[in-house]
Amino acid sequence: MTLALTIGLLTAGAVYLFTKREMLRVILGFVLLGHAANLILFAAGGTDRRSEAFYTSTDPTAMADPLPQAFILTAIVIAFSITIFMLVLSVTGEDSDETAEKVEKLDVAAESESDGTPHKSFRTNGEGK
Amino acid sequence: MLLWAVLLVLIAVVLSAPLSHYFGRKAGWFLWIPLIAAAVLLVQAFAASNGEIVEYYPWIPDFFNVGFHLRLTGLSLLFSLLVLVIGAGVLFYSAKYLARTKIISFYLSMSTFALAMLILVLANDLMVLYVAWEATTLASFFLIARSGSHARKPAVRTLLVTVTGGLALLAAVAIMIASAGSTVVTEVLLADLWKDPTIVTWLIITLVLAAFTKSAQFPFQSWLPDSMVAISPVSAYLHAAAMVKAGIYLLLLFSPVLAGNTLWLTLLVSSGLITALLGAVAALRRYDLKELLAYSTMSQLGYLVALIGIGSPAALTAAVLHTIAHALFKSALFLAVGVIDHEAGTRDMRMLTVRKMAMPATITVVLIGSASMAGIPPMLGFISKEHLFEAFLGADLPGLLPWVLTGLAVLTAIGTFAYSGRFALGAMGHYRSPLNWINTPRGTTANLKPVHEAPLSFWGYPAVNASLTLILGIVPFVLAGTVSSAATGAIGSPQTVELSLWHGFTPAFALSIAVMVIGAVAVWQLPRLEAFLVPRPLSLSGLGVVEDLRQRTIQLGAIVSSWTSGLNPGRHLVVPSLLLISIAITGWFTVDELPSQQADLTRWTDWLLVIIVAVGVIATVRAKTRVAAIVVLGAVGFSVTLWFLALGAVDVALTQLLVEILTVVVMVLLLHRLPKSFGKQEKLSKVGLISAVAAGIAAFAGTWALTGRRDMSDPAKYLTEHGAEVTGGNNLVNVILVEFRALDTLGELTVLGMAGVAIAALLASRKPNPIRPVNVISTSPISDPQTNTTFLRAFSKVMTPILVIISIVLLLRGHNEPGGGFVSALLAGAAFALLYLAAPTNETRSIRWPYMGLIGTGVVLGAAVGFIGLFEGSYFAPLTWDIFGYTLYSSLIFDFGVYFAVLGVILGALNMMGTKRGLDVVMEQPSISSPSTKQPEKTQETVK
Repeated sequence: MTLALTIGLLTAGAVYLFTKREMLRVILGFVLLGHAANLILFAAGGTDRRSEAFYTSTDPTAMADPLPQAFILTAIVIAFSITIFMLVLSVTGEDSDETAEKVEKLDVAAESESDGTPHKSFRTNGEGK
Repeated sequence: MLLWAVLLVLIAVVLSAPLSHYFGRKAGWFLWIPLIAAAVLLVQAFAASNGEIVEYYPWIPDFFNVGFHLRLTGLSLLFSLLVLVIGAGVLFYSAKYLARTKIISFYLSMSTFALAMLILVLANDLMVLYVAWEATTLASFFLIARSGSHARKPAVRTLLVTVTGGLALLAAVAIMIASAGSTVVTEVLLADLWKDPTIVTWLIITLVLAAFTKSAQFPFQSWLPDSMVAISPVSAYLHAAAMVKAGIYLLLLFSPVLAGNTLWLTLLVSSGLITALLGAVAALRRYDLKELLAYSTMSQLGYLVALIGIGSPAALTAAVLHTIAHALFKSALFLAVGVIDHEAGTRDMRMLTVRKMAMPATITVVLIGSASMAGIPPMLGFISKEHLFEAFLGADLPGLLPWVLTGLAVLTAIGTFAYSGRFALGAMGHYRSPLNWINTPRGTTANLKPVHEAPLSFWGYPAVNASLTLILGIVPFVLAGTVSSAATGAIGSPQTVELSLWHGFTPAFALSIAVMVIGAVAVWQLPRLEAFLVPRPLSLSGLGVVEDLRQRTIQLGAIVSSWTSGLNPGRHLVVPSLLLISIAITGWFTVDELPSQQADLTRWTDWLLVIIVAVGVIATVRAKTRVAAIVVLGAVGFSVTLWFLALGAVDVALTQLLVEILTVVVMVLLLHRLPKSFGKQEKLSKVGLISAVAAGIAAFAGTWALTGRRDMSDPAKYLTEHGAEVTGGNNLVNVILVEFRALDTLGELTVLGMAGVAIAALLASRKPNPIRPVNVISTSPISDPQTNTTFLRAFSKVMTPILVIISIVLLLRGHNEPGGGFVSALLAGAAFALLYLAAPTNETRSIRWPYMGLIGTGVVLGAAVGFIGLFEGSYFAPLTWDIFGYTLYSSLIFDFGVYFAVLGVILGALNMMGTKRGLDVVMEQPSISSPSTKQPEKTQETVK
């Protein structure tokens, strides 16, 4: 119940931030969503056993499920590196990280042309060179 | 023995990068040695055998017993020698030719190419053959593409054409394996499938498609001249010895079972002769010496294909002989053009007319090579052309066909003679333009300086090949043994070939005389011929179709992506949120009864955590400035950390805590490049709010309904009960990470490393925003960063070493107690972050470690541990060693890999984003660490 509530709160916050125009807020949303996803993994393992997954100190019947923990551990680090990448994205290119105003500027079709004017030589066996 | 030859070339591949790193372009003076050694080994082994050596090393025993079946016959020996000897020569030559940049990519791709070609011609297993075939495709792509941005499109087109052929070969291989039930070439060749006309038809179509694309036969011819953007050594190797000869080898390999088939004959002969004629005509219209040679290659390969199509013993023998002759004179010519290009700065015959060509040795090479290409006695090219005419005349075909084919061959030979003469004249600077055309460069821009001879080490190897073509022409009988055994392989029955310069007054000799006389007239009248040919370009090209297809594919991609395009990520992100909501609605109506929830799921302390998270989330959402948002996000992160602690996940909590700290540090590093506060104050947007609340409810309901309703899963039970005894480690989470799912962790390390590389690439291609100016009142205590950071600097000097030591302790004990690679690397990263925070200016870069190297080391170390596991039977099988009473686990080494990779990414992020110099380093050279990045010198490759 409590874990589910936490997950709900984090998800709601994340989705709200996704609708914002600043890239930084979207990134914050991602961080929140990452927390929510990790906690869902945890919930999947069950929260009734909560003692640490160390063989020496705990009796196995009370031990928390170690499997989701291992998943989450790497997920956190990967999410961290993705967060850094997105942060770099947010500071490169334009002066601000606002996104909505720039939509008109983007023309994907034009972008695909940017790898050069069509190579003339292929039609004439290199005659154009 | 065959395996040793392959391994020798593999040594060249492995050594190519370090050698070129330390010796620059001179690495070529070392790299040719293993290739020659491999060639000597093969020759010795073959001489000691009875004409065939077969070796087998298991690879995939469970699937048709696919393995490294290697087989050396006369045929594969001939092609191996071409690959190895010419490859060695080209490597030696490149030591003088190359510019001083991009050395590593050249030597690495070249030696990989040689290795792939060697395996291809030695393969006696269809799967090995196919893999090697594709490897040559990729290696040639990289060799062409490395010439710079102008080479991108030709490289991609070459790739598209040759990959199509590769797919055709895959289809052929699949048909053969399925029908014959074996992957061994010799067994497949003896199988019954060659009696089934349907299968044979399909095999001919697919094999011919593969060979035509590889050997640039009509209508796939144009990639070959297109790929001329590559540098001369690459052209020499691709066009004389390797790439294009792969197609010829494939045809010869299957010739014993397919020769005589009408479809095979029709396809090969017609396409071969069309290509031969087209190439010869096209070569007469080129001004670029190298391009001329490229069309000439096309034309000569057309001869070979047509000969293989005829399939008679005489024709196949002629094909083998002409393969040798062509490889010798063509490599000599390509490399000589490289010398001219290198010394004169141009290879355009019009530009060379105004220069004095004071390079006697190179010009001699050009003359001998051209004479051999033209078929003038006593060159080897003359002998092979005689055999070629005889084969066409003696073709076992109905009616006038042999005469028609011979006529076409003679016509091509005349064209060959003419363009050979044109090539030689052009290279000597004696190109004569058509009378009424003014196309020689005049005026001030033309370079008028004489062209001087290059050093011996440069023209030496081309001269060796040119001498060979002359000497072998005079004493051709020394080749008889090689040609006989190679022809034996191609024909399928023992052959004895006699070679001599003088054949007597045969019809072929009469044809040769005719070709020489008419050819000489054509050379004399070249300006007229050109005036006739140049305004009439042929526009027959399969490559036009390929280019169209390429453009269309890109356009289609643009259309599809335009559906979700836009820089506003909300448009993408709301879609999954809506899907989440619709899943919840579907669940509401379809899920009837749930198992009862477990009793002990919630504790009262949990509610405290819920409250903190709720406050944190609301504050993050409502924050007005960027700093505030980051700070409160950190609060959410810490409460999630507490959640993990409450749930008994110590390692996860530690990881989360450290990541939270580092996230804030990185955000702060970048924050001063963004505006202070968020955009204009908006009211709570209704759509956003509604979808957020709905998604939150959906996530809550889903978690509540679908978790906590069953006992622990079976794998988890196994791990909690037996994990420790199986692995010898008490920290179950850590042993899962580094032992049970080590391969998965390795994959994640790679993702992590790629993120670091992607950040570097992003910063190298796009400048970050300028730093926002900050007004600090001069009387403020924080106006002087030097004094302001005194305390923190003193503190960090003490703390950083301690923290790093602690991190290593955490790493070492991770197997049994909280810690492990991830946690300890994050701690070390945090310690270094402290140094950065304490630095008085951005420019004080405290850590100068090669972070990219760290990332690479980590990933490589992780992968290497996996290979150690192979000794125990499987990749990543865990190993233990007892050393001085301590037990050392292989997974600890793996954990070191994790440590390095994670630390590399963190240091990279701090350096690249935190400091201006770090940024500059990224922009100059993504991989620092190379000491040889001095001032870039004049690069030859940019000379057109």
